Amino acid sequence: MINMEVNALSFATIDGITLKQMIISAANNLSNKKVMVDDLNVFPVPDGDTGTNMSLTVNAVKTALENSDEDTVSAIAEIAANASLRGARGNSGVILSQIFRGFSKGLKGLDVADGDSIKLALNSAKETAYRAVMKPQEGTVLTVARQICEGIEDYTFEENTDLVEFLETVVVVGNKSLDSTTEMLPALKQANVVDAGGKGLMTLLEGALYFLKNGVVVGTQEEKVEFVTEDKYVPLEDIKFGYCTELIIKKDELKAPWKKLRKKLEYIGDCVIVIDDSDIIKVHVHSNNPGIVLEESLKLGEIVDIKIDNLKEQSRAMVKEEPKEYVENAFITVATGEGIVQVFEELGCNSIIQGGQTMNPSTEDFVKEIDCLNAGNIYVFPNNKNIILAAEQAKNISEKNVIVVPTKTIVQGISALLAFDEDVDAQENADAMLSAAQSIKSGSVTFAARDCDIDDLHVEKDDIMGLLEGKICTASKDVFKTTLEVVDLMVDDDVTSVSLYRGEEVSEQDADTLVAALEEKYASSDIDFTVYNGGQPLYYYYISAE
Amino acid sequence: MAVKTENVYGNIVISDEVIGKIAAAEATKCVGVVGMAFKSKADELASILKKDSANKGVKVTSSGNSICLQLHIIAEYGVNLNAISNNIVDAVKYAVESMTGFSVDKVVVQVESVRVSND
Repeated sequence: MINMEVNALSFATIDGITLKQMIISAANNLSNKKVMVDDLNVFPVPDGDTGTNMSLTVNAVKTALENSDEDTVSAIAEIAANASLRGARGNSGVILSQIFRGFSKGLKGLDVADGDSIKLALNSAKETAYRAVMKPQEGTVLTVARQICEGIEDYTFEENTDLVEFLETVVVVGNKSLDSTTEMLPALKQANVVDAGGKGLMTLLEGALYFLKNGVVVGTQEEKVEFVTEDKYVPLEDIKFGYCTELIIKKDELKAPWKKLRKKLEYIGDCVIVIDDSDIIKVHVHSNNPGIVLEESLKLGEIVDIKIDNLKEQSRAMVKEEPKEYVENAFITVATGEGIVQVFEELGCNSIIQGGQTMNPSTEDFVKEIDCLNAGNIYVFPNNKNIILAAEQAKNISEKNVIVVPTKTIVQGISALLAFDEDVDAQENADAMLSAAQSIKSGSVTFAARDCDIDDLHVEKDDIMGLLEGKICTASKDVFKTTLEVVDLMVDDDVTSVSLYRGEEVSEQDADTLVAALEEKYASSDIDFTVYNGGQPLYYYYISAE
Repeated sequence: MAVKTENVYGNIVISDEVIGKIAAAEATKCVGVVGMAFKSKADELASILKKDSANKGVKVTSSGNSICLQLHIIAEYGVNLNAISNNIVDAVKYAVESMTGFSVDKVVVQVESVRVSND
């Protein structure tokens, strides 16, 4: 080819072999950074692995190129287009294959490509990519491709224009465009990231540029991904090297060649990763001498972001998280307020989900708790009528034996739990608990969030209202008065004991005054009044009568 | 038909047309899809009489709380049909599920035609 004599770092034209090396270099660069690109993805599904998909697509191209001995740009580009078409994965992969296809169309029939034909090919790549999408969205890889083409539109090639310079411009324009994608899509802005596909494209172009500039392809660091998983599941006895050391060496003041560091580290540990990443070197090693790792790294230059983890400790912590011991019966309940939670704990609740009237736990919350428990029967007490449905749904999702006892109030939940009998089977227990819950009278005292008229009762905002079985039955301006009225409505000849759980806003003194007043009022009918510190928010009192 | 669910306050019903529109909108956003095709000759005739509908090319079969979708698409020439079909299945399933809250049991993508550009 004509540029055999040309200095390796300056190109007036690009021949097939160079193009091939550029693409391979690009593929390697993306492979190395695919995890980073994946992490940019803000859309959970689909195509949540943009980096991996693009990387797989371009690696199909790499493999095809490595197996070919063509030497014209036209043939190389065509092989790339065909391989990417066949190897396309995911949305981003398909777009990438279209970019290759358009690029190849632009170079058709050429042995070597000069600046103008590359410019033309890039334009054609953009066109083809756009055509494959019915409703192109701005703020994606397409935007980056388009703005690159716009940015180089006025770029003119003289006799000796260096293509390295040209490609540098492409990368600069592209990266600028990439930065602007954050502002274009709300989802990207929210997460404050750039578009993953665009980043993938720029990573490829940077890889290609790297080859043009340095005459060598970007190396691969395949092992990186493996180690990430290996870190997680090492049983304690298998840990030979106890400390995971990670650090970054700043490359701008390298005192010695970094490649030797890897060899040195391999003597003292395993899982050695030394990655050269543009202006830093990342080091990761498992060893018994984190000090030596630091010393050796310091010999190269300034080190930052040092992280040393005790792997044995990590492993022990993970063992602790293993499934809990099997129990026959387990209980999940929903409650708020320190005192209430404590009551449930004392009654033997295995798991208490924070929530209630204003914070309805979701089905997922229940499923999570259910999954954590290792029990034959899992009883769930929603303790609020708005939460029963979520609990029922969790029961349907879970494969475990879940029994939802549809308790509508906290006090129902407590009495249901009290009715539990270890000696009878689950169904019998469920029935017994439900009937216990229903036999108890539950009342509560809270304030009105807005004005309303219910039946004959007019309630104004911030009035103190009394609820009986979830229905508003009385209201006044005063906690004391309302509570008395609620108790009055609950008490009949069968009631022998009344429990009151005072909320976080009620002082012990107030509660005592109330009990004294109640005892005086019902002195004749022999009823026990007990007050507990429930600590629940919003509700002044939960009241149960049985 | 339509999908239904209920909570303590009442019922929620989402009609097939709504699901069809979501699916069509999402499918046409996918790379490689250049249009939706008519489901049948009858649809083609019907479309002459009324305006092009937003759920063109989508057949929704739903009952209870399960949804099956059949999408008739026109693809761009030169794309990997297998790859784009897989994308469409993922994207449509995700969009419909996240917007309606109902699970999609099945998505069938039928490539009805390929658009060949002239250059």
